[in-house]
Amino acid sequence: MNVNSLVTLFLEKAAEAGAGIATVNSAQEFQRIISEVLQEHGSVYCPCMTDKERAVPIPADRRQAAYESASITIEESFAAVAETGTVICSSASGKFLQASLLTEHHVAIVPREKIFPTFPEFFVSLAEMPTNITLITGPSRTADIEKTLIIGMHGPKKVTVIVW
Amino acid sequence: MSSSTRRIDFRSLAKTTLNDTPLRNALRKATDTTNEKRIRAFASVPERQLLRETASSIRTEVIQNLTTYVDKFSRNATRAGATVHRAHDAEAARTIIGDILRDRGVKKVVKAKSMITEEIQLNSHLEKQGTRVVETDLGEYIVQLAGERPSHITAPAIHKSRQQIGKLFSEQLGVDYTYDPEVLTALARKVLREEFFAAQAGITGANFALAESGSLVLFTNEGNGRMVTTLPPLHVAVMSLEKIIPSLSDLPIFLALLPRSATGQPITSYVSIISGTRKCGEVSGAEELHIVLLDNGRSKIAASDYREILKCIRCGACMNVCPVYGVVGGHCYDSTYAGPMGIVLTILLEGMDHAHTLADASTLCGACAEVCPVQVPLVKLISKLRERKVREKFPTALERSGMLAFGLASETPILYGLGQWSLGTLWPVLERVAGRGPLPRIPKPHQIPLRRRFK
Repeated sequence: MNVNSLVTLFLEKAAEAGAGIATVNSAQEFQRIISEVLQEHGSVYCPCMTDKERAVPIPADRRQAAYESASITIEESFAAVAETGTVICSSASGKFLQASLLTEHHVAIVPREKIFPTFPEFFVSLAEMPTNITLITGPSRTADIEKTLIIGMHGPKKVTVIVW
Repeated sequence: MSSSTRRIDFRSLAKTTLNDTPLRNALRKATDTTNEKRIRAFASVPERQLLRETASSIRTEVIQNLTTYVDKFSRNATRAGATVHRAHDAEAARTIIGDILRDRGVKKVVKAKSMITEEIQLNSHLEKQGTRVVETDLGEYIVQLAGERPSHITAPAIHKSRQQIGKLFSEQLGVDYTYDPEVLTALARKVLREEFFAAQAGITGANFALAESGSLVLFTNEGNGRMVTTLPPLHVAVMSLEKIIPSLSDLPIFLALLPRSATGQPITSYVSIISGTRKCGEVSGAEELHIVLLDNGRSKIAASDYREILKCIRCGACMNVCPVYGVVGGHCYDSTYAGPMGIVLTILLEGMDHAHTLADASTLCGACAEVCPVQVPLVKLISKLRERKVREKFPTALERSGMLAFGLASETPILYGLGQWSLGTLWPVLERVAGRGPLPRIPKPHQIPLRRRFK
């Protein structure tokens, strides 16, 4: 499977799982998408540990260093799996895994070269097991009251994946 | 378990439920929705049968070599930084967990949904020693507020209507009455968010455990599994031995089967794979992880003719398709596990004496075995248990003598003919005597045997 069809499949499956999707090819396009995200109110947490994270344009007055008080988390993902539209976080990245859980909106930057077609291929790529690997597919949900689907039980009400 | 002091009275519990129309409507709606979603989710998986066979053989491999895999898992979990405890029975597990929490002065624990902690009745034990336990799965939280027990493996509050939940929240949380699921969910989110931050420890079960890396695997949709394992500094996981699968490379097949079978999703919103404690350079993960490996009868089952029940991955699909579960609901089984898998596991774990009435809570139609993602031969196992029940003389004297008479008659044509003739003749009298019982619904016996009519 070539990279373009992988990206297409990943975005299609992520959208089916309820995530917002976007794909960008340059820093300008990326920043345009982020500025659309920032139309929402609330403070923003971004770990700024990778080049792509450092390219996130957050106005100083909206930046929040403590993820537990932020409304939006923008961070680069460790990897992704196309067959289910899943974003993967790993404790090996040195990031707070709960940052993508506690805010209302999780924006995941997915580097296109880190999309694996299936889970077996992703698992094989792991040299060693980090303490925590978290697979994230769409927003938090529950159907515990009369099987009625409600989005945003404990985790984000909104997930956006941006393939870059 | 405290319930083992008295017998499960399936028949009279079922009678109550059968007259509870709101409950039956709620059950019907919930099981129908889940069944439709499951069928739709598998429509895109043409290799379903192959996946089931492979999953079944992976589970069989572990169960046949349980000791080897348990040792391997313990070794590797310890290497990853976890402290592994072995518990022979429920009491041992409760004591181990209670002591871990007491020694560290833990007053409040958040818990993610786990059937094994229900099986060992952990909450009441911890409450007794002064540790508050907060259930964080929405369904479990509702059931806990109501002081009840879950009625379904993956949908614990399946038996409650939105109005009942609204009333419960307004009474217990002191909020204005509403029955809007959206508002109720938001309320629970707010209350439980504070609990996550206040808790000193998190308790979870495990959907799977990987022997090769000593990892725990947790599936959740709400995100509570992630909260419980990343926010408090101490994580205690309880799991029964058979949850182990060999390695990470075996996980993808269960990623495909479990969520589809349970809720009809291609995958749950979250899957956490946790290997030991926080390492150097990491900022996530518990600082202290204790894993309680619980036997509670599993080794005995693994060595018996019933070992295939240990393949079960707790998806709940057998309940959703069961015509008996579908009308009586989970509470009638009066045990941790309901539905077809619950019949088998409960009798094996709690004994025939306590649970023999459950052996009859099946029509043996086979829908459960057909839907099972790991090919547990539920019909075969339930039939085997029924045979044992008869051998151990649990059926009533009336039932036993009736069956004895039928057995005798079916082997002696003259007796059989006589029986048939007299039953046909006496039927109207019997009907009048029995009144409004089930008799009028049974087809009338014919006075002239079929073979005579074809002469």
